[in-house]
Amino acid sequence: MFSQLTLKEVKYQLSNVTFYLLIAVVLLFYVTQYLPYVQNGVLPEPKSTDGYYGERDVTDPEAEIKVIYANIRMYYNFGIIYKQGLLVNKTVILSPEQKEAMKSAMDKLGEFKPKEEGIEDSREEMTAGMDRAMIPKLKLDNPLETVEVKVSYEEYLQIVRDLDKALGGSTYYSDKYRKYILHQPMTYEEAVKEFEEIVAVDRVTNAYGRVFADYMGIAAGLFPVFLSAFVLIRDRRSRMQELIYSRSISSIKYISSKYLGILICLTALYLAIAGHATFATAIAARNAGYAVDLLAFFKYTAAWIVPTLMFSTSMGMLVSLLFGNGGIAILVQFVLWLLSINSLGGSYELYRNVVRFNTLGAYDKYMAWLPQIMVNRIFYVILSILIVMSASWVLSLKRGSINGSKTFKADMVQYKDIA
Amino acid sequence: MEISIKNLSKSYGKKAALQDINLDISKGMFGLLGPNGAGKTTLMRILTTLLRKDSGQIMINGIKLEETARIRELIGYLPQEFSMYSNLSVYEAMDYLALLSNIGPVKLRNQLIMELLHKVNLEQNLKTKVKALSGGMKRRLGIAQALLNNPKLLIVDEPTAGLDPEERIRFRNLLRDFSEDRIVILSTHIVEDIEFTCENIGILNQGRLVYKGAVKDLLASSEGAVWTASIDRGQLDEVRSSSTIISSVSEGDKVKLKLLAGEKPMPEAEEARPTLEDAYMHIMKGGVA
Ligand SMILES: Nc1ncnc2c1ncn2[C@@H]1O[C@H](COP(=O)(O)OP(=O)(O)OP(=O)(O)O)[C@@H](O)[C@H]1O
Ligand SMILES: [Mg+2]
Repeated sequence: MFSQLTLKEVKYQLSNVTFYLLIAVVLLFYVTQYLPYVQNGVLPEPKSTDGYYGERDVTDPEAEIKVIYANIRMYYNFGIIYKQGLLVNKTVILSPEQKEAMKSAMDKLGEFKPKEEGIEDSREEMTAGMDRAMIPKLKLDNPLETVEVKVSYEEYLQIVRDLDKALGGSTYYSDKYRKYILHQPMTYEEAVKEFEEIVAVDRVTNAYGRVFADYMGIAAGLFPVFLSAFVLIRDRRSRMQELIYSRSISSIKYISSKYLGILICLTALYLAIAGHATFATAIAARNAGYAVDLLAFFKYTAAWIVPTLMFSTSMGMLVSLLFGNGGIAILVQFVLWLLSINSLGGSYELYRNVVRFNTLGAYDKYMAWLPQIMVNRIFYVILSILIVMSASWVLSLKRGSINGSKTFKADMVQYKDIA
Repeated sequence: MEISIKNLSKSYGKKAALQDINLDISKGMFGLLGPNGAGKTTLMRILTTLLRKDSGQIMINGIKLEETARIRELIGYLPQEFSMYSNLSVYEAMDYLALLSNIGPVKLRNQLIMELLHKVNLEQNLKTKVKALSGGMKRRLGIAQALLNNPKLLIVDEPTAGLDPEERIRFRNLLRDFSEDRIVILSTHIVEDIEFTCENIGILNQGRLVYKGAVKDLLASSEGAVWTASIDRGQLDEVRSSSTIISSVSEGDKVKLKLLAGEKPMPEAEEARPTLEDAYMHIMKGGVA
């Protein structure tokens, strides 16, 4: 009986225009964000003549100073800097005094000494956040080869901290945010090692599966709310509340059937796309002669994306029920979503309901972050179930004040009156 | 099967919608009569657990109204405004609502739905969209859905409003058929609706129950209070100020009146046999039952 009710919700969603819009948006994400990764076949083996092999995190103190020097130099030339904001980064145009502070910090740190003529100076800007597979082969400035360091690590720390202060704080030179810009170009040897890891440990598909789940998770963190925020509002709009609420079905059954119905539709959509991604990626990888894991995309979809879908669905139902308004639910979800996605990977605090991992490969990092990711995902599964239960409780109160105000507060007043 | 209502009150903010209602209802058709805004819908929503009362006790079949889960199994409800998800057909609507009444196996549900749709004469319209039904058909579907869980208590809020006379009579007969072995509470502001269908009635006016009892007792109560008289047109204003005129018909220079008065209002007046409509008017104008 419960399953039949769930099936009715599935059927409804299959006739719902909003659901098809959602499919279109999610597919668009897939086609524009993920498919380019595999358009020209899977990751080619690095060749010693490639020149550029992507980026890796800086680990060496001297390399760190060089990278920071190059970064200051580039933004000094641009005349702007970026600051970390709450939701989005802020662009700040440098005043003459600030430019002076940049210049003086730079001069103290080191010196720009290119060995060749005509080296491009904008490596950071062009490659930030990109992967080797995405970047055309460029001959770019490598600060490790073009910068000469003039200070000790302690002196360097003092200089960048002072610079952050002079620029008004929250810059990428502060202790808090510096790690976000500490990337350096990989060497050929490092690239080969990473490549071999992707082939051997990740069997190619797992590395791509994580990137897939990263991009597709972004969509999962927001768009389901457009279905869930209106599923209960629909009863009021259709003026069916009296008819439904006076029936013997329990509130938990009613809410759960709608929740599951939506979740089934969304999960089916994501699994179908994961199926296509498997096809597009694994086939290419197989053709290139690699061993593949055919379950990789389904694994990451189930473990990373489904909890996100669960959360966006349940959240939309609860908030729309509390406020009698789907718009507020969308707004709430939008803010949570912005907070969740403003990292490219490595941050899995419990307030983030989307798992970001915007790097191809990086198995070491994945292993290091896995415990946090797992805690985060389990948290969201449990939270979603609790939210569904809360929504049922709210509905059971609403069922007794059909004529009352649309908001929960007024219902609570009524409830207290008789309790 | 019995409903007992004791000292029931309900207000919306400062507006009192029901005041100190005491009423017992037993098997058969019960008519709830009252003008617009009298509190009929409010009372029905309280009985159907859709609205919480402010004070008082209500028991249905020995079960406290607060035990909503058990109460909901007992009741079937046709709201004053019956509407469905816009895309559903008659059969789909019944099927969905049956699931919400916890009616399980597909086969059983199908059989039940076909039976009920046959009874309300809608079996030809299984695939018709609910929004395409006429007012009368919609009301019949409304009754069919309210009967899905075979309720011991069927509550219908103004089911005849907006129906043509023929549909209205058919609908009343339908309700009568369903009132065997259960309580049917029917609200209306049309006296005729209850005249031939209900044995017992309650009359609500501005949140107060101004009459409860048998239809025939209501008639008896207004005996001696209804008069007819033929008067000159010029006297009309004078009469209007001293008594309540129920109806007036012009006859040449004269006007034939039916009026309410405690005693003979004028020498030429004659006592008339009250109709239910007259008795209702009598009660509404403050006559004592
Ligand atoms: N949600 C509400 N908020 C405030 N007042 C209300 C509300 N619902 C009903 N009322 C008021 O309570 C009184 C009783 O309303 P109710 O709907 O019960 O009357 P009714 O007898 O069903 O009238 P009708 O014949 O028009 O359906 C009316 O004065 C109405 O204006
Ligand atoms: Mg009403």
